[in-house]
Amino acid sequence: MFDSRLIRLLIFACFSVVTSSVWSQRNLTEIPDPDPEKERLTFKVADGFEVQLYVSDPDIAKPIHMNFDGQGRLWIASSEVYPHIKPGAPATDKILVVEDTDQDGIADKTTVFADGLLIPTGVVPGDGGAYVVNSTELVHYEDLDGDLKGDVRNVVLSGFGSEDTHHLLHSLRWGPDGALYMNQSIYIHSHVETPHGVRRLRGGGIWRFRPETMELEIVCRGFVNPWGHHFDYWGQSFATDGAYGEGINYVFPGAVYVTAPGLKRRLEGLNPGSPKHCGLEILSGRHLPEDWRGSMITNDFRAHRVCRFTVSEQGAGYSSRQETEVITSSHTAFRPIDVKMGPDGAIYIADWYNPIIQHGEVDFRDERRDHAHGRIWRITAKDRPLSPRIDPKEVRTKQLVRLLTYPEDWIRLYAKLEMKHRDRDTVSRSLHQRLAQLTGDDEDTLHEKLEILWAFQNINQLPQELVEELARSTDHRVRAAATRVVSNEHERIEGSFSLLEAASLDPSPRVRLEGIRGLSSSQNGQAAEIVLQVLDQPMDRFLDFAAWQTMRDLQATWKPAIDAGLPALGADPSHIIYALRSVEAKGTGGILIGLAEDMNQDDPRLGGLLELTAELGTAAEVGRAFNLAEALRSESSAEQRAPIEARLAAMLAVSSQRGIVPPQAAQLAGRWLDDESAAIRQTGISAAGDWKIVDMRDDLIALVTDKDQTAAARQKAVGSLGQIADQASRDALALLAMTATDDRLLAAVTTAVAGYDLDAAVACGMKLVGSSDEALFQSTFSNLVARKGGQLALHKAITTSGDLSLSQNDAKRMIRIVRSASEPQADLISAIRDAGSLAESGWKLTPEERTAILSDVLTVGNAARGQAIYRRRSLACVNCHAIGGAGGRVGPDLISIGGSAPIDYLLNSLLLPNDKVKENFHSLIVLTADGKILSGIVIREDDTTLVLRDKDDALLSINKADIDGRREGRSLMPDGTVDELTRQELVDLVRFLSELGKPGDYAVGTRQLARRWSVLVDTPAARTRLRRVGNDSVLNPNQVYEWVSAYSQVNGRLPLANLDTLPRFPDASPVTFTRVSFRVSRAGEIRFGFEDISGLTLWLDGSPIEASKLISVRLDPGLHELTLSIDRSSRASPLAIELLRSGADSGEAQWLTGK
Amino acid sequence: MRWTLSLSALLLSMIMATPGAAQKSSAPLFQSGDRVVLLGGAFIERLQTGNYVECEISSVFASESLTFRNLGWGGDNVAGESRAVFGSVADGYARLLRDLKLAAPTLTILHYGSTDIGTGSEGTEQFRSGLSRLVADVKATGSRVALLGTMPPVPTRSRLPISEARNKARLAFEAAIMEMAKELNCRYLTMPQLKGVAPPPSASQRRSPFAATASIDGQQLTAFGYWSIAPLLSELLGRDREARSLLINVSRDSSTANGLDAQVKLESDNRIAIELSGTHLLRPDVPRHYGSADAETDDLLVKVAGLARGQYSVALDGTIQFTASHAELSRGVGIELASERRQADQLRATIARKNEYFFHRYRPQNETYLFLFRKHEQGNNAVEIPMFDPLVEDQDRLIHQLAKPPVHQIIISLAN
Repeated sequence: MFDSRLIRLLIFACFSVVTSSVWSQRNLTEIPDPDPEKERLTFKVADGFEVQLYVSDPDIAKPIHMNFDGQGRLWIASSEVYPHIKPGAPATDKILVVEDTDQDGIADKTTVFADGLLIPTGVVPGDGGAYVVNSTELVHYEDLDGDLKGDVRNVVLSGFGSEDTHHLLHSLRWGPDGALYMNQSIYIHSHVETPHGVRRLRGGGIWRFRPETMELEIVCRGFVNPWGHHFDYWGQSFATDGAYGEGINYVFPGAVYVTAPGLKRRLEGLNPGSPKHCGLEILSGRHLPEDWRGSMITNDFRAHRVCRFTVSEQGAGYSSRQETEVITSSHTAFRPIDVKMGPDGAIYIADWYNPIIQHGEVDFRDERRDHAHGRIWRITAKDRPLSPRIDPKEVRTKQLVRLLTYPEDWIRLYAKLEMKHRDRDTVSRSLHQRLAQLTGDDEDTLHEKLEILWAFQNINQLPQELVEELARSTDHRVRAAATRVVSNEHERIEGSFSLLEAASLDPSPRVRLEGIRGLSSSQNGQAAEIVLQVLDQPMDRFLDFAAWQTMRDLQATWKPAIDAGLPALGADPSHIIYALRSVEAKGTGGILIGLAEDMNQDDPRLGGLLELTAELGTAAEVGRAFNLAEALRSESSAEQRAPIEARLAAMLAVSSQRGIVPPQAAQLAGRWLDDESAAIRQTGISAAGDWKIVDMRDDLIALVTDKDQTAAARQKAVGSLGQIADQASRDALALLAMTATDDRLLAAVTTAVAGYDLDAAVACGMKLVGSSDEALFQSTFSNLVARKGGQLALHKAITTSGDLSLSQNDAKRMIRIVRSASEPQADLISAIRDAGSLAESGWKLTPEERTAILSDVLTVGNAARGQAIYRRRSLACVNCHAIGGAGGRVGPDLISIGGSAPIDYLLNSLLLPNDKVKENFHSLIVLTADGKILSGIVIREDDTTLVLRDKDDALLSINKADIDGRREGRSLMPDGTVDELTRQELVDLVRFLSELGKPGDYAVGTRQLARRWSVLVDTPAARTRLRRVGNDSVLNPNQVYEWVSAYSQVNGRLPLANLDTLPRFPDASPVTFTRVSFRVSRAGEIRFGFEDISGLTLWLDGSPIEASKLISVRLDPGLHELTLSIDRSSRASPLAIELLRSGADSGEAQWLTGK
Repeated sequence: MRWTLSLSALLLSMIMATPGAAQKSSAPLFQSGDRVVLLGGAFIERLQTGNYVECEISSVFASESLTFRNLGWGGDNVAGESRAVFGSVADGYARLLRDLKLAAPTLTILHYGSTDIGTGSEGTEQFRSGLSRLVADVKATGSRVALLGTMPPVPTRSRLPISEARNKARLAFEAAIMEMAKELNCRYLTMPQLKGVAPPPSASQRRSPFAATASIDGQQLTAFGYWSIAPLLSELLGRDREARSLLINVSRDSSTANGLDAQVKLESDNRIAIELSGTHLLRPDVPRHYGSADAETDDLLVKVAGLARGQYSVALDGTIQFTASHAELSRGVGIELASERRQADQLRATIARKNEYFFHRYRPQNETYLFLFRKHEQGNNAVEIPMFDPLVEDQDRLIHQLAKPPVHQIIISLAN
């Protein structure tokens, strides 16, 4: 008790400091009353459950991570130093052990186990003490006399990175296999020396460590900040990410997730568009209602919610859906960050308790940051008995084995861990004796056998017979788990290769996945061929990733043979294509085209081979591929030609990007240009430019000047002339710049000429001043200012024409474009402002004005009006930011921004977007060899290619050989975005953002509501076609139908007011057409709920279905689409469609999100 | 190796630990006022586990007033790979040189090679060229360079056999280091070999897989491992300790001191006043729970021959410690210098604080926000980082004071 008193004193001292500073900040953010009972009263708890305070400040403070031990004591890593040590201040962080000695559900004893730590981010009891993360080290403290004090301190592993204190090594967990699992996050670079060699993990990932043997391996790579990891009943891993919004992630060895450095591709989570979640516990045990067992509990700490997901098997992986929350709260300091089940079967939540959540955006020394409080909450099911409490340490070995049948996950886990400390022979004998008694093949018996296998793994023994038996079990979940054991221990299991081979061919996709991943470290030359056989059975995204990754891992076993032209990988060309694609095997074009040339022309794999040749082959090989495709085209009927023509265009695009020019380029391009098919003529025009065929210049000039040609063809020809750029081409373009009157043609000339003469290009571009075509104006000038020297040329053009004046509208839109550039030039903006006689605008706030605005946000800010401002087309917020996955991905998803960011931060981010940029949203500026300046967010990068997401949400794939220079850039959000808003509008917008994610009208709830829609644009051509062909015609793609995205409000309703309408006849009622897409991940019954069906006509996948408030259909896996026509004369209310839950055997579907 | 469970075996094996085949050079490695940078991977970084080695060298070489900067970084190699953070290996190397500049050494002790073991002969070649570049770059800063050899296998848990193959590979790197030292004209220092150290008696009852011995993995040292290797390293560096003893012959009015400077004054035939100070500050105690301080030799052994018969009191620094008969005094009595041991602990704590401050200075947490691509957000906090400089220097001064052995006064007088 002495310890608790000491802590109390210390905390009281800290608290006094915090509260005194609180007053001065009260107008900036809510600093709530820290009384735990007042906090508890804000909790809305799931039906049938209740929450009580287990332990609170001053007994504990700032819990970061926690784990129970076998005796039911709670170990807490606690940091008051976070986020950064002050110069001269001692590191005073602690590991606390909390006990409920009288078992009344309230902790009554706290002991300081270890002190003097620097931001410990993880603790797990075990091996006679506890493992603790202390900055760069994993330390084991041993308690020699059981007084809960760490006596012997050993650094077990060191070299973990410390580049960010909320990314340090964390989330320690014992696996069922007796290994210690540990996570690290995106900014951490670890280099750990072990007796088995150095292990290096750059960026996020999950480690697996065996203390007994000091083996340390990387399980998976990636994630932003994955503070949750747990194993289900069958030993499968799941993870959550506290800084990335894909909900529950299914984890398997070798998997790669978002942000892994050098990633080529990645796996996505099971709940895309979900908010970020911290901590993860898979529920088990008798205390909870049966339908809650297996549920996954995690925390949306930004929005003060404890969330529940249910996960079910789907192919090789899983699907997940969100259920009603366990707790929601409006308390701004309630920050649930960890969750664990306790010895009584209750759910325990670690509450970091802080109005400020982290230090990325908010100053290290911000006075509002809480350093003193912290709570652990205990959630129990009402009127249900608690789980029995058992201390595995007190149980005889024989009984210990029987604990493996307990439904409580932690009892089984600690029983296995306890076995490590017993006499091995006795444990082994007891396990064998129990095995001999197990004869049935029911689920419980099979699971017990699996537990026994894991128990053997814990004591470092692996009975061969048991391994083999379970690898052939009748239950696929047991086979999958046993295959993982074989994979992890393959060096110590006899015949492991055969077992993995059998698993790779297993009827269950999950087992196949484990099998092929198990083969990934094999040196056996046959492994790759076995892995590829997985392609002969149904594939899904998990298996596809596993096979792709394994082929890469196995590259050294098969690629040399392929390179040498020796037979390898079996006879099936689709297998070879898959393998070569997986490693982007350059230099293998000869093999590919050889296979293609030997192939029957009807073979469906031929097209893939040709495209891959264009992707990987030399000029000669690509030439052979074009010849073959041409031959196919000439022998095909008119109807069969379209796909071949599309393939030719794709082959041209992919080979041109690599700078490949086939030997017969001139001949091919010439033939295409003369062809009667409009599509292939377009390809011919592109080819003439891409391949720089000077001999075709005159044909192109003729085409450009021929007014009978389509506008698209003429524009493309202009582009190609710009690529050829010999003197005659330049002269032709110069002439066109003088004579052309069509805006689109002028825009094309501007872009073409910009490649070699920026001044001339700007002169031509200035002819677009006054153009009413917004998109054209935007793209032309964006293109100009995105070139090296482009802004200078524009500045010169504006300042040297003394009498140049711009309309206010032109000046405004030009300034907006310049501000969106990677490095906007202030003197250019000022020159444009002068030319447009615009007054100096922008928000320049004094500290007093700023405080007044922030105060107004809280008092008179209106979130509903703010949402309308946010959705304004002119502000274009939705183009870059999604809410709940719906919207652009240029900037962060704002789903819970209000839960995490204080309002002063929000205001600042609107006024000065570059002041604080969210992690992962910094741009990179790249200068290409041809003078283009590209900027965007790095999506992925490898040795040859850099992929950026630009400000328009487009992915730019840049050949790294073409990069002349690169440097770090700004936020892609342009300065001055909110310049045109009135003061009240700004106040409302901040209020809206500040409400996002907080409980109430602006939190994306657990209902699956459609959020991203496509709306048909009202154009004369579209009206004409509707009139002539009818409403059904919108169901088929047609170039006159242009669809744009629209997004639901945060509450899931799509307001109709601003949507385009297209009356079929002048006097007919106006109709809005909209579509919404969803993906069925498991076949079965899919149900839709409509709030209101008035005025709706519906089609599902192109076929009419009757509108009803509840629609139920059976659907197969894949992408599906609902199309709606809305009679606007009979309906004004917003549209809302929900995917509803059906029965146990129902299908699973998710709405498509994104932009 | 067979474990024995007696404390005497522990002591014996400690004594048996030898500094390998170190060639003692006549020229001392350290010069007065040297700023010594320790550069390498986990072995160097973890010197801060207990700081026993730095404490020992600071004490033994107290007259040289050495200053140490630890630039160890787990997993590092001669290319500076671990220091790359978000950048390329070349960036890591640039950072290594930058950190070296910050530490401004006059002498740099390099410890590399361990992380490359297992890369084969190709690895050795790469290692040689990398080491050659690094030594040249260190020398270019004006620093002298010494190369410390790789760690020979340290006997450890039975469940973790030391791989013969690994040791063979290690020897290839060791040979490379020796040759490069000659070629690059640097001092080569063989890493002392720690022999088997028995775990303390309670070890068999422990639940931890990490026996409290010199190493938990056969490669990296525990606090006890560093405590054990510390005197071997200082011996290797040219100076070792002598057990402190003072022999006084009253009848001849003579005295012989070992490991001490002592002034002995026979005030009368039954009263002796001694003023003494050790040649070096005493060592800190063995780390707790790894062994017992009782097993240590005496802090000071005093033998007085020729005293008149009787019972004598022995006072240390003004306080009577015990009484002993003339016969006991002639056989020799051990005197515990508790205050000096406390000073040794204080020295070690000060070194720890200094190293902690320097760590926060050269390799602070949250670098991403302070100096790298998020500095536009929290870069304003970077003003705090140079504030560690004066704190480090304050500790340096304190270390130099504490490293000097104190003067003790001992009065042996006939008890009433």
